[in-house]
Amino acid sequence: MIDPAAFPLLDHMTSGLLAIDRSGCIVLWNRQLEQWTGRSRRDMLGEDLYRAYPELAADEFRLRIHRVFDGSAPAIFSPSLHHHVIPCPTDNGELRTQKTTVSYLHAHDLALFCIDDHSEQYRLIDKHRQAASELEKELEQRRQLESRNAHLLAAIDQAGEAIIIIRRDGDIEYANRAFYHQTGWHDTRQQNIHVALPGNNKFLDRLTSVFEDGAFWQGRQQVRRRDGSLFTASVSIAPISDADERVTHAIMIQEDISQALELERKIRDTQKQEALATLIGGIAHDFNNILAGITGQAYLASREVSDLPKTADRVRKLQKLAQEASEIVGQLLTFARQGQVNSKDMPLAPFMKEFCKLATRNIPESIRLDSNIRPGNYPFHGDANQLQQALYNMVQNAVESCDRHPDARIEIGLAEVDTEGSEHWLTRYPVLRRGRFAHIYIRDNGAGISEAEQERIFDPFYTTKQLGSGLGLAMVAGCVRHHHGLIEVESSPGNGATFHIFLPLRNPRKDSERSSVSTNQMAGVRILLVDDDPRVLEPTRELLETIGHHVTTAENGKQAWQTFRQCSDDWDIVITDMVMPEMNGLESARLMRSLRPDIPLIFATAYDQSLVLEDTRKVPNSVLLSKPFHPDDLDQLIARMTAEATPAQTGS
Amino acid sequence: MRDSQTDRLIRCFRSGIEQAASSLNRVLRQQICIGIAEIGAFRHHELPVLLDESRRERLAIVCMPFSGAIDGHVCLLMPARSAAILVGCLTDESPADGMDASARDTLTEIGNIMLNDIMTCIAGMLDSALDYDMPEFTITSPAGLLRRGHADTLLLARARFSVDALQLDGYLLLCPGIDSFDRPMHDVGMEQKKA
Repeated sequence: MIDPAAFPLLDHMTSGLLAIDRSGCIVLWNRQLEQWTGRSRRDMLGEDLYRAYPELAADEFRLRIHRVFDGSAPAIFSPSLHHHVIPCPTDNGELRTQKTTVSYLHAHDLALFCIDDHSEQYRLIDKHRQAASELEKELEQRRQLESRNAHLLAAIDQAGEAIIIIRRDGDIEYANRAFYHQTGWHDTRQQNIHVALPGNNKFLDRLTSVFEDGAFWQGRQQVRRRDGSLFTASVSIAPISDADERVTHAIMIQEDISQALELERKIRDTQKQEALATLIGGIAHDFNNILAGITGQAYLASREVSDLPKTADRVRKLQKLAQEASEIVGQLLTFARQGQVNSKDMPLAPFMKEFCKLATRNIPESIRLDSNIRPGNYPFHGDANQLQQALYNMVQNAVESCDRHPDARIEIGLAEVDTEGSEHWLTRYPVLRRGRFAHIYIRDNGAGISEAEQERIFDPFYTTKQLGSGLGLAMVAGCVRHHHGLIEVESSPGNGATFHIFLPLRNPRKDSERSSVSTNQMAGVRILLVDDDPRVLEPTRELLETIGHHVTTAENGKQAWQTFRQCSDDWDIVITDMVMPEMNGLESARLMRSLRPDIPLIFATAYDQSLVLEDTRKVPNSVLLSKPFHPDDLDQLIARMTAEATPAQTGS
Repeated sequence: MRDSQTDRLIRCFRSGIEQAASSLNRVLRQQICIGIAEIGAFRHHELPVLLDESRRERLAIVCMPFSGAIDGHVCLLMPARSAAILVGCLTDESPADGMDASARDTLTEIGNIMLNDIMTCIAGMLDSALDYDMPEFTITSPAGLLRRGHADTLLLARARFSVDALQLDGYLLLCPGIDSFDRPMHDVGMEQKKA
């Protein structure tokens, strides 16, 4: 036993101390341990350590403790792995956290346990770890929140709609990219909304109402850009309230719908034009049949009255009037896209240069005409006559608009536009397709056109002139539509007008021009003539017979087929109407071709050529002819086709 | 130092390393890989190069000085990241590089166990009791390791160990003082003769 009296300091140490001999008998138990364990020295001295604390008998303790007696280094029992070696409860019943070292006392051949109370240190460590863990969680939450906010902000910034957050005093707290794009402002942060959107009084009044009433507002609004121009926007303004339900901010979402409205207007306009075209096309078809009859009868009459000069003159006048009527119907058909089409590949640049020369000769000297033809090939497939007529109509309008101007000027321009490469044109003209276009414009500095007039300017029979037919621009619109193009007018009263025409360009064809076939008139051709309208059938038969041909008639496709099949070799050519009851011209022609693949075919139609063009194109050695036709033209066509008929030739 | 002495020392050191690995295996219940034990005299500044895998990291070191028949140090040296993993495994706490007091105490105990195993073998070889100081824990950089040395040349026995399953590794080092080595090694030589 170690006499505590011999070592008084041991009882004054803050560490718990105990010592055992090699047998495990406790020989030292200091006062600190008495206090911590509640076990008195008297009770513990002489007691076997492993009986007093059976858990220390486990190998992990006992072996390490006994190696100390063998001269090994001190053994350390850390708080984290063991918490305690000798259980020492505190006042609240929890066990003290201990660090215990066991070292060998050579002089006494004892193992000395030094027990330090690390409870407070470990409590602080736990507290620190807990705080660190909470801080880490908080930081992670903040990182996630910041990441989410960053995503949201990026989404808002990239949104197609303009989004701005406005403070009650009118200062802009946030504006996304679309807002700058829509309004033309570059950076409005910290600016006042009244400064950023000047002249938008109605909108600003509504914003004020939202702040005052706290009510959501939605509607359409004209918004003024930085450059002063206006656009129509669909706007919604919502209040943002604080915890006290005071409206502190407003969020405004603004969508530029001007393009959508323009598209809507165009669609409405197109529908109206289509309806008009259908109506006019139907009327023109009937007129054409009548005119075909009149023209034929007049032609026959002129041959019969050649010895009556006065009557012959009247017949010639009648023919001229019929011709004029035919031209008017032609213009109507052009508007209705049902006119005669003589399309071919042509470069637009030389065409436009020629047109400018022609226009210069036909306008008053008081008007200056400038041309601005940008270099290029402009490969185009279209009807040069129709296009020339359309451009001429536009120039005439320009002349009439600016002829009283002291410095009257007209400019005709041609440039290429590639909407694939630039969004500018698609933004400006939403209905324009993607691709290459020839942009023809005719600009004058005349009186200009009001918005109301612009709405109706392309309608047939709409005119602001006393003597106008109202068909000029309607014909232009029809011509442009026929060529799958787009026409737009840009004007305001007093500021002249610019008409923009966009015509689709095509890739230049190597075999763009076909050599024309020389024709020789010939008589005695055997013709099967088919038409369901007797007003056309009879005069046509008579005039063909007058020329010297042999004509057999049929009143519809079925009758024609029945006649033809009886002896298919009896005819040199078939001239047939397209639209007929019972069996149409195309169907009967196919049947005839099954017997006579070489028989030349002329399809005559008073309808829109484009409706039947594709079908007839598939029929070799055939020609599509619009009614009314001139007798000489028809005769030449018959002569050419019968002379050059080959089974492989393709119709045009 | 004679080759026979070197062989004897390295065998004892190797034996101690195996004991230490065995103890670590009992604690971790994971396979421990031990590298080849080497011994040699090195210039002090070569120490970080010898422990090349730890050069760039902070090092956790448990070092126990001893004296008696020979003086010296025996050390457990681990990269701080490996030390944190080891502590995390033993205490079920998430590993952290910080090594707070609790972690230091834990690693000190593990170092104490492993270093005692080595020293028991060394003392057995010397057949002489040694005196030990309490193991000390430090965290230092390789540069800090350099600053710790006083002697220009040191005798160093080293072996690398690793626990692949836990992706941790470290070194066990024995640095006996060269000056105090002649007598005990002579005794060792005598013992060998007797054997």
